[in-house]
Amino acid sequence: MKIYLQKTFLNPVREWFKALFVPMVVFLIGLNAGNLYGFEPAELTVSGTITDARSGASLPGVYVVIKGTTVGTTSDVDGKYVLKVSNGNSELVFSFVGYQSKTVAVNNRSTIDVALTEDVRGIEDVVVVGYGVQKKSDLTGVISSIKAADIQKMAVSSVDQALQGKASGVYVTRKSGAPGDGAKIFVRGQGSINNTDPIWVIDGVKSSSGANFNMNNIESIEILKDASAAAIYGVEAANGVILVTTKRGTKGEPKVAVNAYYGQNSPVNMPDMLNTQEFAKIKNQARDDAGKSRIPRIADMDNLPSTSTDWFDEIFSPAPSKNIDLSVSGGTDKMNFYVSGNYYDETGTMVNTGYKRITLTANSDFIINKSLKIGESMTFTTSDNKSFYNPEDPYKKNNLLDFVRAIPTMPAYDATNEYGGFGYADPVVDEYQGENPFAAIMQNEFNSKNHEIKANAYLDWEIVKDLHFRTTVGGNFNLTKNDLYRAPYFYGTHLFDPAAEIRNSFRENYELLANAVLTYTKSFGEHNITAMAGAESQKTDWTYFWARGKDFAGGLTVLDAGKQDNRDNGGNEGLDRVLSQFGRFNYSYAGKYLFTANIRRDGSSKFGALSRWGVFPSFSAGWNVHKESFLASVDQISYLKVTLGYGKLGSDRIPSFLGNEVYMTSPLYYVVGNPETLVEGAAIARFPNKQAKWEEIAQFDAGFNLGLFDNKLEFTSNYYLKKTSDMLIAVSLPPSAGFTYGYDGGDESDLSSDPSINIGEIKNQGIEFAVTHRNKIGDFSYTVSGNLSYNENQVIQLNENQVIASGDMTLLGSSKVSRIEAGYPIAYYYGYQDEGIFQSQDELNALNSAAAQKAYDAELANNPNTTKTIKDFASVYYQYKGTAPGDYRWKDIAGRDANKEIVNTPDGRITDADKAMIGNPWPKWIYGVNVSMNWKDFDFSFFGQGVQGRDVYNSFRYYLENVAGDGNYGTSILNAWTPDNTNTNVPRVTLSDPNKNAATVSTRYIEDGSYFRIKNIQLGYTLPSKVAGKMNVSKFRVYLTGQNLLTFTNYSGIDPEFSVGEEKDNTSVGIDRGYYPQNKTYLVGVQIEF
Amino acid sequence: MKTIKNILLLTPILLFLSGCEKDFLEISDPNNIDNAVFWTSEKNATSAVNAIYSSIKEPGFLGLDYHKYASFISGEYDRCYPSDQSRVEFMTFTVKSENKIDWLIWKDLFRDIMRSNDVITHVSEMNDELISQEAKDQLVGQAYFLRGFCELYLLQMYGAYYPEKDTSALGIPLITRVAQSREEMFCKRASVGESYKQIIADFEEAEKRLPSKWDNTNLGRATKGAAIAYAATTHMWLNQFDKAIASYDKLFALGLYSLIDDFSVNFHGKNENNSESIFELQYADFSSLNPWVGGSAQSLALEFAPSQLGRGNAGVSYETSDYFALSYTITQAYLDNSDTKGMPNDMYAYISSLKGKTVSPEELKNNLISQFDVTTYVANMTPIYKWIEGTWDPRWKATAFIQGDTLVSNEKWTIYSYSTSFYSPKKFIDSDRHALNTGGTLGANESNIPLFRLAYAYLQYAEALNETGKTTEAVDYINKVRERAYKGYTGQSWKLASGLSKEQIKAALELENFRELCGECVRWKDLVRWGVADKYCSYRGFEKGTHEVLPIPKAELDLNPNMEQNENY
Repeated sequence: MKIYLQKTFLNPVREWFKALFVPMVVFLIGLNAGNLYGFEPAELTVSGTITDARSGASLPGVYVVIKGTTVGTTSDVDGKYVLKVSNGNSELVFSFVGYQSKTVAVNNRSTIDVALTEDVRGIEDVVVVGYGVQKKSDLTGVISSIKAADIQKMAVSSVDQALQGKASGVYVTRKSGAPGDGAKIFVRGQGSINNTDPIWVIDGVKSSSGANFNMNNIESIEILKDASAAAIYGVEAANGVILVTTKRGTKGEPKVAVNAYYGQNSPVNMPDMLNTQEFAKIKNQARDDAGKSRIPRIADMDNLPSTSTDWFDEIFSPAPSKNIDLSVSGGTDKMNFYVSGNYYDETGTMVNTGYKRITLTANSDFIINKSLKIGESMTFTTSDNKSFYNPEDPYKKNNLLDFVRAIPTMPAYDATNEYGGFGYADPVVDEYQGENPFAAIMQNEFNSKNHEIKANAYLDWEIVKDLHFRTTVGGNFNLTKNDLYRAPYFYGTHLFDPAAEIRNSFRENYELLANAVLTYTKSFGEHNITAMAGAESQKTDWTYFWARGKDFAGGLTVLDAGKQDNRDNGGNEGLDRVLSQFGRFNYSYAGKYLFTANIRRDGSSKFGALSRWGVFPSFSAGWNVHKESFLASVDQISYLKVTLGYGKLGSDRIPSFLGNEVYMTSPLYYVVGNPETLVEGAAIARFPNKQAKWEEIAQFDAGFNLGLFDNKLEFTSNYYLKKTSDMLIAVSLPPSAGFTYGYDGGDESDLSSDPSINIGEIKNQGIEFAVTHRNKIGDFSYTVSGNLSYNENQVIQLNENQVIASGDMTLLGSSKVSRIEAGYPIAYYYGYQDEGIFQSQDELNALNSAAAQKAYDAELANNPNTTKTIKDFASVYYQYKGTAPGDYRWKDIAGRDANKEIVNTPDGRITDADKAMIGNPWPKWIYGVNVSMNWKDFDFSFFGQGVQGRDVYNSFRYYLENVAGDGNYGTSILNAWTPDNTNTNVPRVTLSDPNKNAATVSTRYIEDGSYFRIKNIQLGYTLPSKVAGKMNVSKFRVYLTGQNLLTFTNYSGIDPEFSVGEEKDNTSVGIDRGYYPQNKTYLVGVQIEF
Repeated sequence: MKTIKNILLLTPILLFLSGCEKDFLEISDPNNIDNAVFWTSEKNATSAVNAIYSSIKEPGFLGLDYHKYASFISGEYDRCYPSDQSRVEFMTFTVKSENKIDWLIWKDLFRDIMRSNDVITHVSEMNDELISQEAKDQLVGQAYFLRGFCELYLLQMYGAYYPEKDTSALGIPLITRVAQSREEMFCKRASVGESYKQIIADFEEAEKRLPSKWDNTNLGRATKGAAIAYAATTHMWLNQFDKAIASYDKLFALGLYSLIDDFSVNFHGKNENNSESIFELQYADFSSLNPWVGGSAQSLALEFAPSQLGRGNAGVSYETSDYFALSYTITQAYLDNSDTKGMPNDMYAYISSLKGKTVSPEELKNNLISQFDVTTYVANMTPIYKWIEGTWDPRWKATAFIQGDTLVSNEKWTIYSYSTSFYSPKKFIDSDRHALNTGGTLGANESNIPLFRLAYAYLQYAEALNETGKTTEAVDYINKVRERAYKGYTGQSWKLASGLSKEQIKAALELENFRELCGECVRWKDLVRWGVADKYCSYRGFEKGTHEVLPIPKAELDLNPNMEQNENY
């Protein structure tokens, strides 16, 4: 196996050359043939220098095109450009990211110097598209462009969080408020039950860990949303592509920029738990009712212990966050550089948690000669995430359950406890076996360290005029080290260990990508073409290793100091490969009629030989209507473009080797013989699905961009229809097939027993709106923008019309909350409908006897000769045998006929047949509002974001109100039903919960999860340049920021913005199991440039 | 022209770099052994068989969870951590199809069947040059045995046959090969009759191939005797008494089995795989192997052992202890309603008031003796009960730890935490070992778990003889078991009275099976098979026609459209 890997090491490089050049040669010959028969128009060479209108600095990389064509060039590092113009009367368009475009008539001049002013208008921008740039006006695909300035106001640790509310059709929720925790992103709905994270492409290189880097390095972000735009990234692009371009140096004296802030994070909206007095009242009431003896500690209400711990108070407190960015950039004629460093340090509001990160970046470009340019980007990131949960157990990630469960009579501290001085409960006197959660956080150190190097280098070669060859080789090396240290502890006579334990693990992830692209641009009169062809190969290899040790001599904390006979280790490895060939053809006529075609052929090692390759075409067309003569007289309309697109993309997002028929050996031991000997077992590892093939996502898109009043008002709207077929999903097999694992297998390794099967179809459709208004009145300029998107997803079909039960209600139980079923949204909530609370025994008796009567009637109907009498049906109940007043009553909506098929006739009993759709976890509407204003030296910005029409399954309430549990409860339980307190929705307090009030999935837990949140408000002041000049700085700005200041919601849980998909796929969204909440943050910062 | 030159320059590079596309994308799984390689050696084939045993011994099945089901639903054990919802449901007959243990056992049983099928298919196809016919037979024979074994457990749990049922009732899905597609996995339940036929066929295939005895290296694997014994007990399950007798005759004729002298030595890891053992699960403690993830030690002890040894998360119920003591004689006679003649009215009233309550047998005995004329009453009772005279059955000491018993390191066991019972499970627990590691997370106990002892064969044989009218012979076999139990006992005769009727022998067996096999997961099967569960369990909520079987787990119903649920679930 090892030898085999080495043999293929060089293959990526070889592969892309081979895959590239075969089509390329054909292509080149074709083009040159065209040239031979073409005409040679009279040419004029125009050259000049492009500068920044404000600073006078030269601007490299400015896109210069002959108006109405795609013929153009870019300025070099000096801001100089040379362009051959076929017609002395044509106009040149100068455009650059972040600057206003400028159109200049040539008028037969050979030198045209241009000064560009910084942008206040959007439509003329140049946008980064896959493997190139394009003028926004020439775009036919759907791309949302986000400028650095829009996101850098956010004081967040990762870029993904900053994208929230910034682009239409892009749904972002932060996973939790835990330091360093990222966000979940959905681009245009949920194309699959599977993981639908978009891919990140950073400076042209795909990166699996996209969001974890310094935001200050970002020049621009583009989100490719439709098939036509994303197609060029092929594999995995089906769920959207996020292109990040980092900053690069410009010619001139080295420039230093500093941005630093300090902030204070405060936890908000913590759950109210019972104090000792209330706790004793509820517990005693439950026990008295059940005729059971009281818990000794709290048996005597007149003599309760003085301890009354509020665990949330112990565990959460305000904490600081700090950020410092420093960058130096500059350049000469032949090269430029950008070097930056960032230090981010956030202390968790939860005790003993925090996140620190250091990022170092060095980007540079070198011009070797007239036709050859090379460059590189390199970023080193190291982060240290201290969490309170085991990072290798993502299921429990950031879950607050343990804090809710902990009883108030347990003290937080106990000086007599020799292991750390923490308090504990007594299993006999308290009848409680749980740990002290505060101690658990303090005594369990979970440090997740990540070291990452992202590097890429490119070479750009102008082979002949108009024909560019560009190759990029990039690598991503990532080492994750999880250090778990558990101190000796004593949390009661059943929960103790006087020996410390260490568990260390390493995961090394190594990705290599290489691509080569050939681009040809040509104009024939009003016809302009750009043709691009390329090939790419990617390989990923990872290795995982862990080791565990216990009982360390002399209090040391390294594995070597542990006892020899108490060591343990394990590990595994994986790899996958992708090979692609792609091409793009753009055609435009007179800048009015635009057409783009993409084609891609992808091969993935995840599929078997029969279905390894997929071919995915896409097309789009655009019409710049405002250039038509019939609109020329309408002065109000400055811009109008209509676009139409259709395309297909493939996805291979399944674990590797699922089609391989293999045997596993890991832990399958048995003992035989005398003397006893350990023998090894081996068994089929999983069901091999050799038929797995590419998941296909077809997308149709229609939209328009409208600019009014000289583009002061811009409006964009798109409609899309996205259809996923042959969806790949890890499907649980019937346990009777024998491939289901439980206690054994899968714990330490990445073994998944569920095969991925091409199972069905999903439809997403939606509408996106974005509006921007910019204006300047004297010293006052402002921009107001908003975006609003609607999406609905529906499962069209599953294999065998099957239903998938998913979404665990709690971390402990097996009740499933969600369902995936044809005709419904993905993972909709499925359960009973509440009909309030039973108020009297009479009500219950009537239902029970009616249930018995109906059951008897059904028996008579099926079997007229039955010897049974109504008495034989005495054990038929409406709900459960033990149901009593104060319990939830559910609605009887259906029953089963003689063949056990569900029929919509109530049968007088609550059975599985009475479950129905009770909620939709996906938001119908998402929206964001941005306002920014400048007045003289002051600037102000406001950003708010919200979702509307989303149901949350608040299963955190299960913990707070589960009276059958052994722990503490939330204060809402004080409002529990009693014969004297009947107007409530909290059921009676019982010890055994015979009606399963707590565990039953019902509308009780469904809440409206809509919200609007003021995410960020910033007020800044920039020193006038005169004052700044005296201080020898070019810019000095101070700012105040408030984050998550206010939330408007009816949701009763901790935070309506908890993750929609904590798990790796979309099968259990919207279930709030109680997560580390988002903080309210105030911060003050300073920006200095010199 | 320059262009063409440039292109020509590229041509040699292109030729040089032409690699193999297929190689790049063709990769194999570095963590597992490929199917094509696996079935090429006897060693691998043996490890495939080991994997079946391995998962039978797991905590998800006979290593622990099956005991949580069988010993708690029968009422032999009670008291567990109140949040152990699965067990509480068994004890109170409120099992739902979401019950976790129900699911764990179901999926483990089918996993073992899948592994058995894999062995049967592939080993049979192995080339003769790779493996001898003898080795082939032994491996395939074990796989047949283990498949039949799992099918029998399934039938007993989910397709139970009892006096009110007939063989056309729903049995179990019969799966005889590894599914090749998802569609093939949507299996249906066969009838009880068909299931029975399949199980018997598997045991017969196993019997043909398995050796009567294994060499020392392989001791503990399934033998011919095990295949015969399990076929016999399958016949018993379907009331095929003649066939059961024939099978047991065949078993005894092997001449390999005999009862060992000391009853208690069967259970505590001291005399493993002894002459009484027909089939036994093997455990040993190879340190660092976690029993919860496939390791070789046993987890039952960790969970059930009293608190100085383990988690103490079970108690032997007072109901159970009653059956080993004087109070049983009286309360049982009352419960049976068969022999209240001569019972003083006030004693009758007193006992009636105790029904379903937990009173320690010591207390009960003392109360009875001090308040009522017990001696006269017992003297007038039906002969089968008469010998008892208020003593504890000697097997009690091997069945339960009693408060004050000495455990490892001379610690005295005291009542603790969940188990406020005076009694704690003792079978399959080595009292010389701490099951609880210092940390309390990893437990390791080495005691084997005998699943089929000769004593059980004798009692079933006796039952079959009695059912077919051979009452004298039946009593002889019950007495064989009793003789060993009362070895060294010098009081009254331990023998059953002679001349008992068929009904009296049946009643005697109800008691004898319980005492001999308490805590060995037999009680519940007997109660269901005899149709008497309501007599013992209705006070806990047992309902006839429903609770004899478990619900098919919800996960199976959700995922398999062809699966049918049992009635009333």
